[in-house]
Amino acid sequence: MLLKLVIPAILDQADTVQIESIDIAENTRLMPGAQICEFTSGIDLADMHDCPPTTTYRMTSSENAWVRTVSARPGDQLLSGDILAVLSTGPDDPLDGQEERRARNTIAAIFKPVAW
Amino acid sequence: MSEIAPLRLAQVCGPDLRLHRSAIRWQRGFGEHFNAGDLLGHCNVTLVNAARNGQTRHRLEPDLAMLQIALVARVSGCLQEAPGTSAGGFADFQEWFPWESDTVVANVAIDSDAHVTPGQPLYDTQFVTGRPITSLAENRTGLGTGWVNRKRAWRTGDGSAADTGTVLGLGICELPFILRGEQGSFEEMLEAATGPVQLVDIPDIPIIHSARTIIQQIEQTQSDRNAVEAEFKRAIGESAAHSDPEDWIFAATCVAELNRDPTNETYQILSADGLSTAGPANAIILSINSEHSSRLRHRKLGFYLDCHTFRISSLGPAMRNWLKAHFEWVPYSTDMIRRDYTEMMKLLRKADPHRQILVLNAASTLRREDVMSYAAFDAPLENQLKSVQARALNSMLHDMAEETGIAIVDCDAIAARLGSSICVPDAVHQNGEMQTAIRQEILAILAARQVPGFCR
Repeated sequence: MLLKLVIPAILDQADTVQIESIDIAENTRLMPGAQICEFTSGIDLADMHDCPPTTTYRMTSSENAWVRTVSARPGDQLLSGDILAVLSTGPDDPLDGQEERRARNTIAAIFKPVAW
Repeated sequence: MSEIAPLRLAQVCGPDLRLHRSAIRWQRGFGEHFNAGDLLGHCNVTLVNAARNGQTRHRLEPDLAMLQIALVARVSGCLQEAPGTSAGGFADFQEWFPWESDTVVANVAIDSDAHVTPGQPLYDTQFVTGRPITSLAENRTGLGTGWVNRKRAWRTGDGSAADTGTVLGLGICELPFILRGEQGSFEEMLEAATGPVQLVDIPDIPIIHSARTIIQQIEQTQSDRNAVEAEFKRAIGESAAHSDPEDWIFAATCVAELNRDPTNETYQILSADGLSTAGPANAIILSINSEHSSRLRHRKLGFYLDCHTFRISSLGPAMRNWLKAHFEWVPYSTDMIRRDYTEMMKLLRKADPHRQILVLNAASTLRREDVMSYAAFDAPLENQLKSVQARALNSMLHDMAEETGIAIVDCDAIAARLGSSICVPDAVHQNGEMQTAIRQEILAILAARQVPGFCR
């Protein structure tokens, strides 16, 4: 079965996230709890006056699956609902298969030091 | 049928002072209904500090240069224009008119069911002022407008200025809107006061008032201040070829804020009793969200520069490079924050053991997170995960409340009760409903803790 890893909706007012890091690679195994990526939400509002509500999140896997394709790189900006990667339950599942669902993952807001 | 009564200027200063005012800038249109507690209008005022008849000139604090007077209705009714009182243009800004008590500035058609106390004015006099960052930043286009590093408002009402209680806000962005209210001049807080009271708010621009910052400000010597000033002067000098005026302003305001001690400041109060001095504050309100898990510390001098990361990110490359060369990020654990709070409490209560300290705790359920496994996060989790740190700090405050008498303003419970996704829609800033709820909580604490001006 194909598992679509989708950018989650974080804020109602802003649907763009910036990918800070990608920690998965194609054709590798992804275990539950493994780090997938880090992204910053609220960047549409980054120019907002008085305390822009940007937050960095770390996405981790809740699946035991195989990484088949990765669609983003650090620095890319994606929208909520965009596909970040395609996983599969078996290493050789056809990529044009009909069976699919969204990949389960968890996100947590993290502290990120200022990049000098 | 409504009674028509003249709205007269009240006595607002002692006989040895002269006040000049602009025209009244009405917040309610003529014919528009207002309720008790509504802001009717305001004017800019200036104290004419002329020595005459052998009297000594008064020493006026710089922030009285921004003084304004607001008229807050005590009754409900409709405003009616009084003949010959219309102005406009610079008459609304410049203090062209002497303040003469009993001058009629408008008429009021008082609602028939309004409660009117004979002999009492139809409005409360509220003073509003602020200390501009620089005289260039003075802006009195509205009530309480302008870039100030200290904003305050007071009402003495029928009480004595000598009894004025002072509450000081030193929180992050969440607090000024709660204290200053929808109009921006503390009306809601002042309306709830039971006696003469002053509200003061110091914004987190550019320095955040963490416990460590407050300790630094209290304990620093003049030599320390000189060293900080020299460092930032060097920052401008070293980066001058590549930096811009905005970075110079950042450096200058850092020096100004780091080198003051707001918790021990006093305030000049104007009232019908004349000029008097209030403070230091009887109660101080802080935000636990001012505490961060990593901080900038000066490599040589050791002082901390607590500043929102978005401000640092927006600096030019030359200033950022200077900060990188002269400061280091140091991790700051909950235990270190607890140590700071313990030390800060002792300092804040050294001169006044009855001083009340209120702390807004952290809303811990803000984000749409659903952590199934913590395997991908490094220990200690509170140094990496915002929600875990929020809970750790809230637990710390809970323990400290029992030991030190800190009053917790439970924003965490309020957010959960109201629905954090609704009341904190961008996961950072509260809407009006939540600010109102937090304000009510603060008022309840001030009353319960018998803070002057809020006692029942």
